[in-house]
Amino acid sequence: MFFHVKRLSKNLQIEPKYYGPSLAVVIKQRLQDEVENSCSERYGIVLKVFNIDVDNLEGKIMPTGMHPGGTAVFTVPYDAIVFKPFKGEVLNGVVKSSAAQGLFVQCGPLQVFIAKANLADDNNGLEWRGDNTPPCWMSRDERIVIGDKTHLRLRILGTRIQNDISQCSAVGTILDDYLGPID
Amino acid sequence: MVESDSDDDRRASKDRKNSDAEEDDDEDEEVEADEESEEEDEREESRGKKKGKRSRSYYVDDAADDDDDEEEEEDDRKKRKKSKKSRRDEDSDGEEELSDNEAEKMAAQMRNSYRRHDFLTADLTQEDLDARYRGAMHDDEALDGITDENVKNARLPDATKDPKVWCIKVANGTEKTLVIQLMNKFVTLAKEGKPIHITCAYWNEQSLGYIYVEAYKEAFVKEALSGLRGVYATKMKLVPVKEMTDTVVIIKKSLSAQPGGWARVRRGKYKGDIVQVLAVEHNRNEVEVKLVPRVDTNDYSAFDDSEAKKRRSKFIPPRRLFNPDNYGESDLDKWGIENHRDQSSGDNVYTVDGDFTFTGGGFVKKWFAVKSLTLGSDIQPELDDLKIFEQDAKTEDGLPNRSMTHLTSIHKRKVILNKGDVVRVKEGELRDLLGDVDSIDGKRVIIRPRHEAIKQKLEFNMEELEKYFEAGDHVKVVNGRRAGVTGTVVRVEGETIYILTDVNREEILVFSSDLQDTNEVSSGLDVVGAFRLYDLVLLESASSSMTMPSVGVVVQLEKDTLQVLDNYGKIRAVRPADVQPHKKSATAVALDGEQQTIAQGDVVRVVGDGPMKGKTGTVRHIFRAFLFLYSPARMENAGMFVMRSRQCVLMGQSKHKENDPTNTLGGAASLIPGRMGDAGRGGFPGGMGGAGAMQPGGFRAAGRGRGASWEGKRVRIIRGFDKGKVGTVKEETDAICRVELDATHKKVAVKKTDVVDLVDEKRVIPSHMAIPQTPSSDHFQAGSQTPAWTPSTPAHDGSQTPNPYAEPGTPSTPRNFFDPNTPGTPMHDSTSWDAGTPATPGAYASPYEHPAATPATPTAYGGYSSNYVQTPGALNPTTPGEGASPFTPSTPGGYASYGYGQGNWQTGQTPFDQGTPQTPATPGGDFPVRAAPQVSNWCLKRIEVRIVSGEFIDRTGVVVEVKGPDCKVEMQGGQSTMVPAEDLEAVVPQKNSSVIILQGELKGSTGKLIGIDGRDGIVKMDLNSDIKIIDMPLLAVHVPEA
Repeated sequence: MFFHVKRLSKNLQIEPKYYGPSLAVVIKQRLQDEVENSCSERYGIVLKVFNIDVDNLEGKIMPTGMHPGGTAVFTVPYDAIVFKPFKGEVLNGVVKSSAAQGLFVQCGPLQVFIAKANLADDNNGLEWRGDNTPPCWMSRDERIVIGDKTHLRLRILGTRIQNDISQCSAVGTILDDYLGPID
Repeated sequence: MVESDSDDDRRASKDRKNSDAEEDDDEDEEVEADEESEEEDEREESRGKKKGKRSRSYYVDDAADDDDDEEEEEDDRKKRKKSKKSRRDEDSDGEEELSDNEAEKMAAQMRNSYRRHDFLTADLTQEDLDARYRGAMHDDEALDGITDENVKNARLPDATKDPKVWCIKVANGTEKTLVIQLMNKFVTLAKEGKPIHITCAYWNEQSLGYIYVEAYKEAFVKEALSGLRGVYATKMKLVPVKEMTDTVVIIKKSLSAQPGGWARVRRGKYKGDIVQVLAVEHNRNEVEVKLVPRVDTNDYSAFDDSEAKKRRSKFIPPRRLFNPDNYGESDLDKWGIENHRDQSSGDNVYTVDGDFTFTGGGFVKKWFAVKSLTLGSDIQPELDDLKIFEQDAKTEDGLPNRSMTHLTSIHKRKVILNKGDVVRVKEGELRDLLGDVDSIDGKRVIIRPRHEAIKQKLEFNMEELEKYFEAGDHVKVVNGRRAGVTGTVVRVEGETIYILTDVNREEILVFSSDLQDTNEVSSGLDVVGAFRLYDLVLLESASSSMTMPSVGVVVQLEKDTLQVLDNYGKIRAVRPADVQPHKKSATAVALDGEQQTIAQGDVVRVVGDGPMKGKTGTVRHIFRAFLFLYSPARMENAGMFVMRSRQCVLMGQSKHKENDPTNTLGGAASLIPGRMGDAGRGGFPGGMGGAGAMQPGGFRAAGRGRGASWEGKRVRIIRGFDKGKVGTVKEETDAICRVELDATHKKVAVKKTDVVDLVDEKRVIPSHMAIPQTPSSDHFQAGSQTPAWTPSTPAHDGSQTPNPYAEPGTPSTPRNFFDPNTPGTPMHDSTSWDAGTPATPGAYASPYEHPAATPATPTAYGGYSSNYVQTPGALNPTTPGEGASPFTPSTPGGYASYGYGQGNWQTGQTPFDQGTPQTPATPGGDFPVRAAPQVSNWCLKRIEVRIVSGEFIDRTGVVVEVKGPDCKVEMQGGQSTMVPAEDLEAVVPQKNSSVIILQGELKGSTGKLIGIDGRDGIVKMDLNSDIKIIDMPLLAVHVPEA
């Protein structure tokens, strides 16, 4: 897994009712709520924010429009640990669900799909054993078993990172040297 | 080279001549000319056109090689001319007299036909033909050169001089034969010396069932046709001159069938199937095609022949490759496959359904009439189909390569590029260069290369480019059977793309040309008939034999079938016509393993044993005790699976709402007893009531001790939908009561804070007096004196905090909830206590709308109700659930300060402290509770009111007089009536309307409502133009005296 620490900033709208001694706390909280576990197309998935710089903030009161008057906008700088998967990157993950079409592997916050075509080839001889309990992918000689909770090392083939975290997905393969189940 | 002046050419030149001749040639000359042979014709023409020389010269030049022939022919012709003349003299006896002119003209025509006759009989050489053809070309060119404005008209025959064309109906399909017969007849009779006097006979493929005969007289045509079979001589029509050319125009019908091409069968068992063209027989208009057989392998031997035949013809077997060699004779026989010797090749072949002949690769081939096929370039096989056919190509000739190239050549697909598409260059120097389509101009595509070294835009042919996709791209299929499906590219093999579909989680193969980048998610075929994906459908309704109707959820939509997951977890394929939509699911509820109510949209976890144990899913549909659950993680059945409701446990809170006003009360009506029980009863967790009735209008009750029962009390509703109505309390909980309205005899559930005691209206019934711990209900009443602090604030309702840690779910507790013997809960003794619903206790929790969002911050709900009532902006009495919005976890801090704690209660502190705003902006403080009319007559003169009960219900009018408790209302239309004030409701003022303030120190002042902000009305006072913010319920529309 490859994480970055990135200096980012975010515009937060704070309602006047929070103007008070605990404003900084509110801002921090708000920032965490809004940013953590979100995703940006550019930076990837934001896992954790820290070093929130609330000491030198200056809010600007927004012109009254949609919002009740007095809402202020604070541009809050912060550090974030971000995770952005790249094509060709090798990741470790845990199989979340397996089916005849392939596997869904959870690599940290990212769900990677390994399609049948990228999972089984003549070399590893994997095939879907739906009648097995639990159903799993198994090689013909039964030496490789990939089922739920199996740890896999995979290579990312392609990613789709969008601002909505639920839309993020990636496609991976284990058909390469040193990829596949790991202990 | 005489032939170069074939009839057509001649006619054309004649036409030309005629058009000119009409103007400047006189008849005599014409006659003269006609007397000679065509040389004269040409000379004639030269007079009009000065073209004779050229025409003639080319004729001569061209004909130079064939001088001898020419001479012979010339002689021939002269001879014949003579004989003909004499013949005609004889013939003409019985016929009408022909003028000399005509006679000569006819003679000329006849000569032509003889020439044709010669032509037919002459020993034709290739050169002859070439020359003839070339000549025709020349002539055409010559024609083209004419600067006549209307060339077409120039081609038209002159009605007065040229032969006419008759169109004769003949038996279908005999056209060709008849024309040949006519020709033979003509030749034979001519040889016998009694020719028939037609100049031409022809047919046109487009006019089926007609032949055309050209002659000077109708009688000649009739004569010629006499004795021929299949001619309906009575149906003979003269073709108008203008349409004549049309009869000889052959619309080039390009038979798009080409060997290797594709078609679809139009009818029959194979209707819609894709077939590959093997051979084309243009003359017969037939196409030999190869198709995947549909062999019916059902055994009909149990039926007699006719029945078996009937059944066989009804049944459409699935498509699949079938190789008769793999089966025994007896089986084949049973399936109607015959083995016989092919007449032409002498091989043994198997046939089915008559003449579907099996080929080696498991296909069948058959000659189809073109009509029964749909041909065209838009018919392209799907990749799956292609694979099947391709596979055959491999097995047949063992040359997979050939089949591959064959394949790609066949599927020269139209690539439709759009701006923004990513393309790859397929061929040429820049092969494999990627680029984005910048613009498209017809066939030329300008791309912006994705290459560091190439900066300028490049232009390509459409054919040189292909769409480019990478694994991980999210794409949408835009063509073919799968059109509309979206998915993620998992693998790319040349032009073949493997896609994992978003919805069904299946892998499909698609050509890159059929794909497009997309952001949307869709299952493609969304609607088949009236059905959509995930619809609940009724498969079989309950019948006498089956008490349980069978339902299912649509998990896949195909062209004309639905894949349905039924309530037993089986997949069934059904036709849309065989099922009905099932609509009840939205309101259905079920009980989970812990007797909690589950409704659509709830999340449940499977606890029952089985393969699904531990899985979670969202309830999509409920059918009786079956839950149709959706889990996006599941790949089978589009994520749907079926569980029995008892095998599941509700996770979090139910979203269940009944279609009952009670529900609109949202949180206030829901009681989560756990915490309250702890507080109130000192560790008697289950001891409080909490029940819900499942039936609409079910009554929730809480078995809290309370001071006095409300039942039988006469109350007036002061808020909400039923505002202003009077009724009797029939049932109650600590937060709500059910009021039977005097006006409509309906029972409605109302928050207790929304009703006032009719007897003593000043006394807003404090609902919290029901709580035993309340130190003194009077205390609250004292508070109620100040309108701004109306104690109706059910602040204690905070104690109903939806505590997710409460134990409503344990199966043992429900019993306690309903234990009527629980001491200290007098309400339990009441008859109205809906103890009869122990089976559905879970309902008490269900109406709670927002708990899931804030399960971890129960204290944030402290003072819940009060805030909810008072929150400006969020307030909407009829939809209290919205009031919860300020409590979203994003703003937890704001509430922490006045979060309600148990201690407050115990110490008898007044609960209003909770509402005391710690920051001025906090919602909840500065707000008078909705105007509870505190005087017997709240009405003022000249306000607009609506009558809410009595004879004139729902009429609006203006109060013209206030008399004690009654008002005189003048309704629209001038009628006036006396109505008790309680039966009136002030019409809610709109922005910019004139308003009057009903209560408070400004009572009676008028102003203009210049804005509405949630519950606040912004009023510009008439008196001093002050801007005041007034609670909307305190405002009424002011109708000044006219």
